[in-house]
Amino acid sequence: MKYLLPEIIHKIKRLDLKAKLVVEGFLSGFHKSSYKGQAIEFADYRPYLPGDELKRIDWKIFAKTDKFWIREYEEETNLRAYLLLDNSCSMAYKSKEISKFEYSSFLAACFAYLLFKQHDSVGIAIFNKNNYQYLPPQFSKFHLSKILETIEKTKPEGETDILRSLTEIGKKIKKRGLIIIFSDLFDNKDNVLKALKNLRHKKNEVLVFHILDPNEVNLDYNEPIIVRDLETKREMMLDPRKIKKEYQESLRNLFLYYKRECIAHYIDYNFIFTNWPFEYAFFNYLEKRARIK
Amino acid sequence: MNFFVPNSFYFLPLIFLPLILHFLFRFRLKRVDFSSLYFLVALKKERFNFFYQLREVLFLILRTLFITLLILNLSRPYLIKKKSPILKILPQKAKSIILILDDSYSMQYKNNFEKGKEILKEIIKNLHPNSRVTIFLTSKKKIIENEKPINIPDTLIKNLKISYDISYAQKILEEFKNFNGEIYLITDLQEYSYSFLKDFHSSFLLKIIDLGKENFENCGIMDFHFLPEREEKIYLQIKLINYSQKELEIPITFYGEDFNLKNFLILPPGIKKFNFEIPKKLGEKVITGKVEIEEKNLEGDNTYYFVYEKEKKFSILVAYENEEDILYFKKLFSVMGNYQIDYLPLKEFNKILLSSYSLLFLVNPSQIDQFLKWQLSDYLKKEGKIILILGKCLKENKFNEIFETLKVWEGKGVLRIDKWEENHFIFQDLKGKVIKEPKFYRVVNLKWKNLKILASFNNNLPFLLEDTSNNLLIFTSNFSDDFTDMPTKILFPPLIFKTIEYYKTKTKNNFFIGETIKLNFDVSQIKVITPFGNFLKETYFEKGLRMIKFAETKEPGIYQFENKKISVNTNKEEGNLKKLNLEEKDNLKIIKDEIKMEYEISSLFLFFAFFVFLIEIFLLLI
Repeated sequence: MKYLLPEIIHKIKRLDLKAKLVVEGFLSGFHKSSYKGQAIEFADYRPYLPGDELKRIDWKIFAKTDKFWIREYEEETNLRAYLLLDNSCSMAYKSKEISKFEYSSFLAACFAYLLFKQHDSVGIAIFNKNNYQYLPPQFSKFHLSKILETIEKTKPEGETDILRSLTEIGKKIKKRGLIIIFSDLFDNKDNVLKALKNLRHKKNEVLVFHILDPNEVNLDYNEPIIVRDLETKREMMLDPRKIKKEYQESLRNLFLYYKRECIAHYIDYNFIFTNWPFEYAFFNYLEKRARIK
Repeated sequence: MNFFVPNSFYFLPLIFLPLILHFLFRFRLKRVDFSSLYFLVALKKERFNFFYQLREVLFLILRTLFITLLILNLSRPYLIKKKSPILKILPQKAKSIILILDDSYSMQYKNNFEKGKEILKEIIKNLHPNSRVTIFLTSKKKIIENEKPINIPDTLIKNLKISYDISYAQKILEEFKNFNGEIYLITDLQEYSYSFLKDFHSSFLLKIIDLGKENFENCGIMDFHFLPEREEKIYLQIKLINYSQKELEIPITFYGEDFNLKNFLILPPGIKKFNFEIPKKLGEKVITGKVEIEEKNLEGDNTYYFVYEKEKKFSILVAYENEEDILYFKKLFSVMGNYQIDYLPLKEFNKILLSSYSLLFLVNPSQIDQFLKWQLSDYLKKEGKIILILGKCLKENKFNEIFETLKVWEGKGVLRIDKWEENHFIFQDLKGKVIKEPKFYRVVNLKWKNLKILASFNNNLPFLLEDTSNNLLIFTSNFSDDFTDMPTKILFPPLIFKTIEYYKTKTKNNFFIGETIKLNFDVSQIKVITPFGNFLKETYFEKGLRMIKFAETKEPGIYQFENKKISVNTNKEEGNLKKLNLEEKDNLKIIKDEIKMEYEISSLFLFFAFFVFLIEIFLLLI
């Protein structure tokens, strides 16, 4: 599991390798058989009917009962998953070696890989206030490569407008599926929630990963500083020591608000710091995936 | 708005200090990229939002304002009253006008000089354009002559400065006694300087613009001198005068070349003498320094410069023809322990070296032969001092080679001393009654040439004369029984002591501004170092000696003539601000109303500065 630590993964350059390493590492460490079991699940037995393929007869039952019973398997759900990755400039923030965008990119890549392994079709939308790139969900190795390549080429740019971006992307999502959002949600909280609710109203399952750098909450500065907004380039002089408490309180209220409102609307809200291992996100995903099934 | 101390504006660049510090502080701050200010801005009570920025700007403005207000306060701004009583007294027609502004240092009091300048400007501005104006300062500087008012630049008046020179107001007015016009005298009407106005008559109309104050406060140094050295210690005596009616606490400081003494004195109203001891030996060298009191009313009388030279032994020779002539002197000198006194008959005069004596009493010589005359003139050339006491033995013919003598007055009845120079050192501290007491039966009727009468009798015969080089004093009466009853009177001892003291202190190092300094130098040219610059001064011959006369003392301070140092001080009498009580006459008008030409508003700026300071404190606390 130690390979899943962000600082180790960060050292690997190729995103596909990273994703593979992370996913395989996670799965092998977690429960190897669950992967196989999830692909084709046994559902029930039914009497043989003419026309049924002989290979589907359960010969062991026949030996016990002298009757032909057909094993029925549940087909793979063929889930449509949409990875929504925020690439606004605020996502470029990093207090240590890994930025929020890099962390989110890894997660998105890993989820793409994981979903592919699970025979789910995966699409991706990378968005900021002014534009977005969208790849509709497909299940193919080529598509997976395309997704990974798109993620790899994308750099943080532009400002954040979650409502506008998600509304635009929501229009593109024709079939309901699982929507996984990676964002720092630095926007008006009501707009954010409105955007999430819109997605949820279309019967989508929504899984939100609220990605933050630890220093964004801790404000670990020991002197007055001039902070520059990565998105607007606006500057402001402040003494973090004086406002830290109040600032953290407001963030805490915000997280609680998101959590409360998301629960109320059956949205999975997950708060993640960029120094946390990736497995945390995977556990949340698997939990969600299980529920969808 | 005008300013009493416009030089304070040299500090004006300081107003950029808060701005510089503000930007230095900003540049020093670390710049940090942050994901979004969205939540920082959203905080309500934050110190860094718009209000915070506004507060920073407000601080900047307040600090700049604070410094500006302080500088304004230092510059002592004042507002000028537009209409003044002077306009009522100005002539409507074109006239010849003489304007005299008192620039003596007493005008420093309550900014009278600045007020006077403003009045002068106002008069010039409001005179008929065809008038002709002459402007004088009482230090006798004529700054404008017969000029149209419109041609007189404001800056000329603005740049006028107080003078420490003596006042020539009386001379100026007397010079123009027959002037057919109007004279305006802007003055504080000090009794000390203007008492002559009580009996002054002239053809012109004199209008006095009176800036003096009935109630004033001032104290100053009246006199300062070193007391005779005792046990190798030096004592100073300072005479202070407190013109106000209340006790004052005055810090006083002595600055010397290698000592600095500070004291706090309680100064009661009136004159008070204080003695101080210098706690160290000063040796043989000449010490220069000053005594200063900390007092704000008038600067001119607050400082006294001095030059101190260790006393030389003062030896006196009493030369006589008849021993009975000196009996009184012997009796008197027997109690004088401080001097080396020798007695010598005139016939033995060639046996001694006269130059070894500092002072020669020549008592009742009957004649002065050629040899004695050479000896005496040589002695005088070498700075020797002679006190000549004439008497009945005088043989006129022989004596006339030096000065013309008439016969001895032997009148019927007696003579009494009737007039004397009260300000002369010899008569200072002697009361009139004492001086008038002795009876004189005989006096030598001396026709004086190059001699100044210091005291004379009731029939105008001279009693005491002094030559112009100040090295010779002549008493016209021998102090013997048959000439006068003086030896039995209280006047005799102090008079003789004072004459000796006079010569003892005659090699003086301390002068007043306006006094002509005469010094003997055996070179053709000497360098003079003054507080306001250096001169080269040519010497001239006087009675076979190379002398210099120096009368260009403008500022108090230490002046140096080659190796000789002297101190020059202001006339301390000027510090007495007592006003002259003067009645108006036909040709004398006094504008008595207190002319509040300007209102100083510096305290207002100080108040604002304090207010600004409070606002800043308040903003810092919230």
